[in-house]
Amino acid sequence: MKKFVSLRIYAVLALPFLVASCNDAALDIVPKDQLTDATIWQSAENAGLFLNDIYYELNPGPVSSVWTALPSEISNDPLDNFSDNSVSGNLAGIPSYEAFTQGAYSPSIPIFNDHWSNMYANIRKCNILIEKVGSSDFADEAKESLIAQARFLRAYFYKWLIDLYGGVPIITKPLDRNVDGDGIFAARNTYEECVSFVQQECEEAAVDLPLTATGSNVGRATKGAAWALKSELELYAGKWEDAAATSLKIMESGAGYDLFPDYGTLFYEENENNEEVIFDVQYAAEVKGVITERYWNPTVVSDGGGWQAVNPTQDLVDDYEFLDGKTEAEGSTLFDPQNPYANRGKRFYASIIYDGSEWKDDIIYTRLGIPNNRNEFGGVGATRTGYYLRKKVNPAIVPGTSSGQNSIVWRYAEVLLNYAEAKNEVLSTPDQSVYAAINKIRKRAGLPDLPAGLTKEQMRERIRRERRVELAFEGKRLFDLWRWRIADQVFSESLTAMKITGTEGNLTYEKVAIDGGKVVFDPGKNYLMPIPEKVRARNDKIDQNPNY
Amino acid sequence: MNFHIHLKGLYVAFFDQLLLIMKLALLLTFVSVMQVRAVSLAQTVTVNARNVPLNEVMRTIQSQTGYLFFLKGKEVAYTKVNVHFENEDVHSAMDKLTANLPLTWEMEEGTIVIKPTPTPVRPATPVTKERLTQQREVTGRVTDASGQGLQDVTVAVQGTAVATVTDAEGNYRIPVPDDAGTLVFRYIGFTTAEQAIGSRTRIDVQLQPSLSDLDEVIVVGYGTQKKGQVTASVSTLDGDAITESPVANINNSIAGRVSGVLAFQGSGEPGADAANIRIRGIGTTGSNSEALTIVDGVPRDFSQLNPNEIETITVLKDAAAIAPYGLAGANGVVLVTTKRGKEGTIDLSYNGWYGLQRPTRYPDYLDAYEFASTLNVARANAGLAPQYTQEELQKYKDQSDPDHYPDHDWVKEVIDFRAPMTSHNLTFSGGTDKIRFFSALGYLYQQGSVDVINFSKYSLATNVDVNATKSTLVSLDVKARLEATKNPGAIDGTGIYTQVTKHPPLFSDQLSFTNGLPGHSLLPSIYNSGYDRQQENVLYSQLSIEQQIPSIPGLSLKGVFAYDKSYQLGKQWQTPYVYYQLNAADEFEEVRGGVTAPRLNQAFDQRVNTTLQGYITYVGNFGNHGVNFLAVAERREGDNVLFDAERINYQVNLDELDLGSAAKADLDNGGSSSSSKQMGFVYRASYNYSGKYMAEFSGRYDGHYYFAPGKRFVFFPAVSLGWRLSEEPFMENIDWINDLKLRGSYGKSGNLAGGPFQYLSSYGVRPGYIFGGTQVQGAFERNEPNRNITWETAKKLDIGIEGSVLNNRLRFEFDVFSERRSDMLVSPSAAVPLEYGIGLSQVNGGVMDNRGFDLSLSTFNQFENGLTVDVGVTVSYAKNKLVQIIEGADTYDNPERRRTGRPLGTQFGYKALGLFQSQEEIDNWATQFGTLQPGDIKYADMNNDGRIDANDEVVIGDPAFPQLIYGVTGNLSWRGFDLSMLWQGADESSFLLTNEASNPFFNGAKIFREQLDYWTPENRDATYPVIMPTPTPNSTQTSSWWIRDGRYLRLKNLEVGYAIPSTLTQKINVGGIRLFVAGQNLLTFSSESYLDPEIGVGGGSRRARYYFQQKVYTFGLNVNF
Repeated sequence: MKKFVSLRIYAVLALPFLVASCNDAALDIVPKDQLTDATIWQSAENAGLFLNDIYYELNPGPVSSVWTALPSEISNDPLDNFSDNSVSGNLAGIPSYEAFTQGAYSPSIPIFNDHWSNMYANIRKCNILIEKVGSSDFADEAKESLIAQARFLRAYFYKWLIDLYGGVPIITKPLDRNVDGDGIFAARNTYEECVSFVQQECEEAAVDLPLTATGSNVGRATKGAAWALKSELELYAGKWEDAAATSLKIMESGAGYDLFPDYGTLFYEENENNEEVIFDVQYAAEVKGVITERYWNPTVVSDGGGWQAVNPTQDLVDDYEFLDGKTEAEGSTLFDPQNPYANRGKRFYASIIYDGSEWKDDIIYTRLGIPNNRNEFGGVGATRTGYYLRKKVNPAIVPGTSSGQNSIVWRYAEVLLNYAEAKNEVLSTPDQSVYAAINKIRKRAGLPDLPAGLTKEQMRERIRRERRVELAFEGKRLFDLWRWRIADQVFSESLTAMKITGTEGNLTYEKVAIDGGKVVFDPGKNYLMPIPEKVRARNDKIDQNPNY
Repeated sequence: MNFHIHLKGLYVAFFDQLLLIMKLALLLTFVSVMQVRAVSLAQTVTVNARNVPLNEVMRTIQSQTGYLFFLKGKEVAYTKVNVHFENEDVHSAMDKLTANLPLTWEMEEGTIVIKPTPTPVRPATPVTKERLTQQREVTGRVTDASGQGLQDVTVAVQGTAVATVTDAEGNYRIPVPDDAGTLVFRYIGFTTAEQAIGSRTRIDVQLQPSLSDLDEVIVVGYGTQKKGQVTASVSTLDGDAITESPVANINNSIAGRVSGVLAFQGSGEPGADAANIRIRGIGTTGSNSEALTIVDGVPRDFSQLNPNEIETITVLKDAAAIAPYGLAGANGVVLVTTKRGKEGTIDLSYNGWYGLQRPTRYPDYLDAYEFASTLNVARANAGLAPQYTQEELQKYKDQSDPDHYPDHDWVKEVIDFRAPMTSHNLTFSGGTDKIRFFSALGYLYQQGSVDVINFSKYSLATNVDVNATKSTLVSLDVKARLEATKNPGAIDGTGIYTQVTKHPPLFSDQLSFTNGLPGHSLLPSIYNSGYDRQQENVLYSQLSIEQQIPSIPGLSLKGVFAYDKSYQLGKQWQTPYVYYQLNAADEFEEVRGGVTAPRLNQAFDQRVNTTLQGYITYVGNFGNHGVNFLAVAERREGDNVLFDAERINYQVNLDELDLGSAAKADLDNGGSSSSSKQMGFVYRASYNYSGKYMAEFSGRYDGHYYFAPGKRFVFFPAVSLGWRLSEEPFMENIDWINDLKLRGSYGKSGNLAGGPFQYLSSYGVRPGYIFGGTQVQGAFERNEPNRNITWETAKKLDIGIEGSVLNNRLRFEFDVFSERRSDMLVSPSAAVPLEYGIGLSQVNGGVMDNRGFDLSLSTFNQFENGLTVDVGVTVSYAKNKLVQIIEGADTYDNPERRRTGRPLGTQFGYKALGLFQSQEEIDNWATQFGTLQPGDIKYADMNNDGRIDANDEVVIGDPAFPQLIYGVTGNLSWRGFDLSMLWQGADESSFLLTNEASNPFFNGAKIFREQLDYWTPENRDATYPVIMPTPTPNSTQTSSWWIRDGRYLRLKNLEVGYAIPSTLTQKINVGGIRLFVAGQNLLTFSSESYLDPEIGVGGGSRRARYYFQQKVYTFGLNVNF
């Protein structure tokens, strides 16, 4: 019986036990997965974790509202689809088709909806690091390195905003609504102010950045990265002298930059961080991989199939010179209407999958009439232009699997092109340095040197074509069309495709308008993106871009 | 009918021993109790009471005499008695009290023990052939306790169709087959009586008043109350109603059956098909609008419980009912009470069913020819050449070359339209006055859309109640279950539905070739891609000890310790697979799909929750004053550990973690853990005067770890009042009203807000960027903290009226309620610009109102021919309104767009005026989206600025979650047949169609027949805009064009059963057998006949790409051994 008596006692005892533990402290739990402010800024190593996370936010291109919500350059709708270089293959829900081509983008339907807030979130991170590390007592070297990298990254984020929207509010300190009050609402700075700001940031950051990053630091910002950013910015802003000078600084930096011998494999994972790469966004298969092979491969390939998200246009193909250095339009003697893809420079074969070209273990046909051919031009879910993308697509990667291919932001060839273009604009007639820069690039492409004696205008046209071809599908063409103010003219006619009929040996090549290939472009407003409505809804000091 | 021949030996041996031990224990305890109670006892009693339960009378006697009493069984305790004693001797009082009742009493060790008069055990009736053929007649009289004859009592021979009713004097006469075993006497308001016939020809019966509805004891927060004295708003659902509809998830049995519950089932996927339940609608903008669910007093999930274990489900709705749950109660509380063993015979019963499932509704997709020719039409509208030539169209049409011009009905060819589902349950229960037990063993198997997808569940529950001493009750409950979900390695059910509703039936997406080879990755990804198995193991266990304090009658203490543990094991093994395509030479070429090399992922997730509760309860009656008091201290702690590991690039096809690639780059793992703590102090004090006027105070002082020190504890009180009008003298003469009660409540309750630690300024750590080819860690700033974050507070008012009329044939309950939720968590982000750059922790800044009513009606009717019909109706309506939220000026300043003042989830978009009928109309209209043509949707330019943009947005629809849910249940039984049905409907909701469900050819997807009603110059009044090969920006805007009425009515459940006559079942020594057929979702009426109306809340469903709801046909069997 004692057993039951004691049971009763237990029941009674339970109460005081419960009551006694009633206080705030009894509910204390320290979250196991979080660090405190004090911990994170107590050492340069810990602060470095914070910097790592800013790098993690680096994107090779703006994030559009495409449903994969990926940065454009690793997405199923890269920035070149917003230019005359390519069109999207799939159409539904694809911003370049639905919003851009049809001219339907507006503050209510922005293409790059979240990009604004993403960039400012990143800018805040940089501001936090610069402020916290600035007031720390780390060793000077560590401190300078952290701050210089953060300033470079901040400049990178600002540049994306400037490129898309023009002037934006320059915020250099972490905002705190409890301290700043209404000061958190800032108006846009002018485009010029923004450019000057980024120029200065890059220049100052470069001082403390290393010339090269090696070993476990590969991927970190270098002097070259800061200057490449600055060079492109100055070029876009038409600050020719600055652009030429900055580009030259890279060329003369002694960092060992040079052209990688093979244009085609320069982008592949096995060659990543090669001598041509100045700055790239780092990926690694599985842990931080990309699946661009899924998006960019042709409809059917020997190891699966892709979404053929990038269909190069005939307009671009026409700009690939033949081995005599001329295009079809310029009357190249090597152009054979029965075999239009023969005798072109190396870059063509490294960039474009065309009818009859080998790809993976197969030959890809886009001509009409081959039985069971789902890659056929105009077929359901197949190319709209007669071409598929080869550049940056690694044939060794099975579509759908994770790849670690880095996305190059700036490479040495671009610096040469920047230099040539800026220098040509500065001079009244192009000098030898302009020729040298361009010819270096042409040489790798297997093309003859530019003819001597070009006028400034002729040289400008050659540089623009060189730039279009060399940098195709690297997200630069859209901004080139904008800054050269040629988009309205380029888009005045429908973009074109190649329709091939007949049988082997007796093929007919016909350039036709792409279905849905007429881009609606309003020069009164479309040279900048609309500022998304939600930005202005939250801050009425932000003015909209003209005519949106 | 219970029969325990097989078990008798076991029963005697085991239970008699146990009884002996228990008796000894009891005796010794009493001796010890009585030793400390050396008092002289008064010997006379004075009691005046009419129609009150026996236990109340005995309490009065106890208070006057000091004699302890002990009532054996609930039925005894609630037997209604009329007494009139003036200084009556205790013994004679007890004699008089029990004289007209089937009770006997005795004085045991100074305690008055009242128990049922033993009834003679029915002698086993040998069945012989002659007897079978003989007919005889039994006569008798049915009376009430006072000897008054009862009219219209149904007298039936059990298990047969033979029945009659009594006359005005209570006399009856019934022919009985000679082998008939039992007569059953049924009358409303009285307990059904059964009498073994034996060789008798005259059987007189005295019926006992049943526990009227008012004396029914219902489960409320942390205790029980008599229905008649409840002053809060509470609905109950009997467990039998749940077992009635054979569903896999009991969550889905509640909607329409319980007033005040709004529910919506968003998916038919096995294991993931629980309905979203909202009590009295949605009362908060916060992330947590779900009701708290309690199983046997402890917060737990109930949706996967075995329905056969459930005794009752109680829904607590108003402030008074939920106050004991403090911070967790504001969204309503669902209390599930599981079955326990009852004193008496041993019950063993089996319940099983087998069913087939198929999708309820899905769009009728066009065949290949129709699809291809419609695409040509669409391309012509876009100024494009036809995609298919006439010749190709012809081949799609005549199917002369199906390998090149296929026509697959993907839905029919992939989805199993006869997916089986089965359930088997065995329950075993019984007990004596000292020890009672209940156990249930359950098995459920449900196949998914294809046979390699399935969900199975094994459950075992056992509980034991032991009267360890006369005043000590010890209960031990253990419930364990195993849920196993199996899916293919590369796809799940929802994915399959996405695929089959996506691909057009054309060569470009050939499902399979005529030789059987798959032409698309779908079939191999289902059948050859490995597996994904999830196993959920759940244990609920609790021990409770309840101790009456003999020295203070009515006072008891209880301690409860509950330990719940669940762990989930996941194992996903993915393998490469192949499918085929035709090359240019018409040869089949292999295409590799899926992963490039096998990979394995294993995960382990363990959750442990412990709950400790201490109760003090006191029940006292002092003359006309009744007092109840409850105090509870509760402490809960939780721990969660997560672990997972992965290997890729397997060289060997062996699905063991150890056997994968040894390269470090091919290994991965992860893990995390978290804890939680909560404690609270609950009280409830109620008072009633003569059972007529009632008042109750309840509440909780509650603390939770989510918040900053100093913000952790808060007090939630409530008060309620009740008035039983029917007890008033002025109502005495209104015969048709049997009971009428008015009640009202007001109080405060809480809702736990957001996530934990929003008060802390801190940094998170995550795997991040790649440097030098190696991934490094990164640290990031979490949201800007809010030191002051705290609970949401709900203030609720409820006024209700309930009662029964017409001889208790019609019962009703009607409540109106109004709630104001304040301190609601809202994101303050609208207060900072997007340039601010950091997320803000939520603030307690929102206010929301929620109003509505609940109604329930039930009737019970019995007819002369033995037919019984009962019908129930429930209506639940709740409409909320955002009173204060943080809203940007862009919407707040525009009355059309303002969210404040409207129901949460109100749908906004452009107002479609119709379709443009001419180019001229387009030219003269505001600028819309992209290039337009006649047949495109025309939007209203609300601000007349000549262009359609966000500023032209208006309200286009109600919230997707229905604001009104109603249900009608009907049960009918007659001569062994029974029929039950549940109709359930919803109203005041809208759903928005998006993507494929709105625009044809979305991303090249299939189109369905309804989409053929597109605009053409000949079909100007079309449902769909001009058809285009790719949806245009103009027609993909969110607008009223794509809003559909969400109202529906569906026959959720229909069941027809037949009980085989006991005359037959007894031959095989079985007490009873009932066979039934049932169907679910058999009929549906809604605005769109091609879509299931319950789709509309979330992303995939709005595209009509979701796991379709299932229609189920079931056959089942119940056996009582």
